[in-house]
Amino acid sequence: MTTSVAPPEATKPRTIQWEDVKLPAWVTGLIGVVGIIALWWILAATVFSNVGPGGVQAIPTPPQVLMEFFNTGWNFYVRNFGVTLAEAGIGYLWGNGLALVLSALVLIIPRLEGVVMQLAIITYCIPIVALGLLLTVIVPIPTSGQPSTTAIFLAALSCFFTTVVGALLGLKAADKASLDLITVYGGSRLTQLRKVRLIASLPSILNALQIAVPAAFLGAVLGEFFGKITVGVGPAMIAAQQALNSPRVWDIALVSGAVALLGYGMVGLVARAIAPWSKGVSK
Amino acid sequence: MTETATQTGAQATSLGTGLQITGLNKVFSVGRKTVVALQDANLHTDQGTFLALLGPSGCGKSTILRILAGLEDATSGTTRVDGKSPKELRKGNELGIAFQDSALLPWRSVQSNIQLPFEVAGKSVDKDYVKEMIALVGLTGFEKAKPAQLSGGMRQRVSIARSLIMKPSVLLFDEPFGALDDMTRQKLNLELLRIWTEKPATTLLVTHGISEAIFLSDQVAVMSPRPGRIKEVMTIDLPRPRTPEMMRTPEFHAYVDQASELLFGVGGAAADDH
Repeated sequence: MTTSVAPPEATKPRTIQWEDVKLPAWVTGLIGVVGIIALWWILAATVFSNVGPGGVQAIPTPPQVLMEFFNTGWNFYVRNFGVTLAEAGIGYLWGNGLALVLSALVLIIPRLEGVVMQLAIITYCIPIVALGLLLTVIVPIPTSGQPSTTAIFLAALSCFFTTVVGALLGLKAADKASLDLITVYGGSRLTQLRKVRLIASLPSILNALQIAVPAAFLGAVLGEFFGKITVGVGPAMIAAQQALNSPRVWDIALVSGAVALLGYGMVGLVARAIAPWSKGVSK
Repeated sequence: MTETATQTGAQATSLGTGLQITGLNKVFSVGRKTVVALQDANLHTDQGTFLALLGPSGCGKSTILRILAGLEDATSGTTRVDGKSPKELRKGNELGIAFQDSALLPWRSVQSNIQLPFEVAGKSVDKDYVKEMIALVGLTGFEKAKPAQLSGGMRQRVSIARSLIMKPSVLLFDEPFGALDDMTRQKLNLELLRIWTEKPATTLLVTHGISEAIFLSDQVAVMSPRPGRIKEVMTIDLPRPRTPEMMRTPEFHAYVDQASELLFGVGGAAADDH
């Protein structure tokens, strides 16, 4: 050993290791959104510029959609979404309320589980469109600006199944060892329910209630297509379509998505506040 | 040097003392098949002794513990601890139990988990004693922590503290450190010994760790599987307090060899067990 050579890594300039570069979640999210909008814009302006009958630009570019949004004005959205949100809200309460009541019944009388589950599956399997057509015949048409019963019914129906499944799953989510523990310390089935089962079921019930938000909104919009009403997201969309105003159809669709997402996020925040442990490490 | 006494058939022991398991049988029905989990198990110890049930998995040692805790009913036979049936023990809040899974409620803090037995029993919480127990298991400063924030070893400490909080006269441990790494396990065994010396109780420990069983216990019942029976009860005649140094003595090794022979030797309990 006469001369010692310095390790080559020390002298060479380090190349950037891309695997080590970690972007924050919001940056990757932003990149995704920008990418999608760019892709939409390019496609709408080139390949799809002639889609639609008689020269109607069925796929407008992002600026067209944005311009139409501001031209339409705030009032239009408040009026139409107000009705739909009312329908979705009432339907949400009915659907989830019934689902939770039935699940509680299963808790008291475990034998009912099969029946309740069957009922939930039936509501899930019946095509919502068929029910909508039936309901328009059965229920009276509401006066303009009033929530449609058909829409409320379909909103309730849309969230019923997921909440029943979520609640039943939740009531079984309790850790068996924890239940044994309550027994050993002299607790009854009621103590198990109070101290363990109900609280352990919260994460999965809250999760179901969160998923129910967009479902109820979608059910309400769908119901409006049948409800023969004049104000609401459904009729507004039909009107815009019939007027060949495709940017407005896009606007309504995008705002609908945003509203549903907002509701989903808000219930998620509430859920996290009520059951913070569910988002942490498993145990 | 090593005393062993085969206890099979020995039934004439007076009530009021330690564990009394007499002619215990347990048969599980799985569909049309029946599986004999326990066959004519007999065990008798004095009050305040530490007994380990040692055996391979599936030999029914947890079943014995669950029957003693009143979590399962025996097919036939009787169990008494300190002269009381599982139901009486439960009613009198005289049982303390810890499982392999710490079974902590994830929404409760350390302190709140430890005082759970008080709430279940409908008694007012002895805050000072809760504090003392937290200190005893070395978790002072973690009172408000949630189980998710603790390591596996710390969670088991909480579980041990909870098992002791009602000042039970009977302690049931179902492999409480079975899921932990070896070093944590050793450490917690030492602590368990220290705690047990401070708060003595008739104790049953279910384990498949040979040296752990010998190190902790006054008596080790070696079990054989399918059907589960108690093969032999070894009396561990090592002085207390036990220290880690004892694990290196020839006496200790002799006990380990004897237990290994019972478990793995010719016709041994675990000989044909994979």
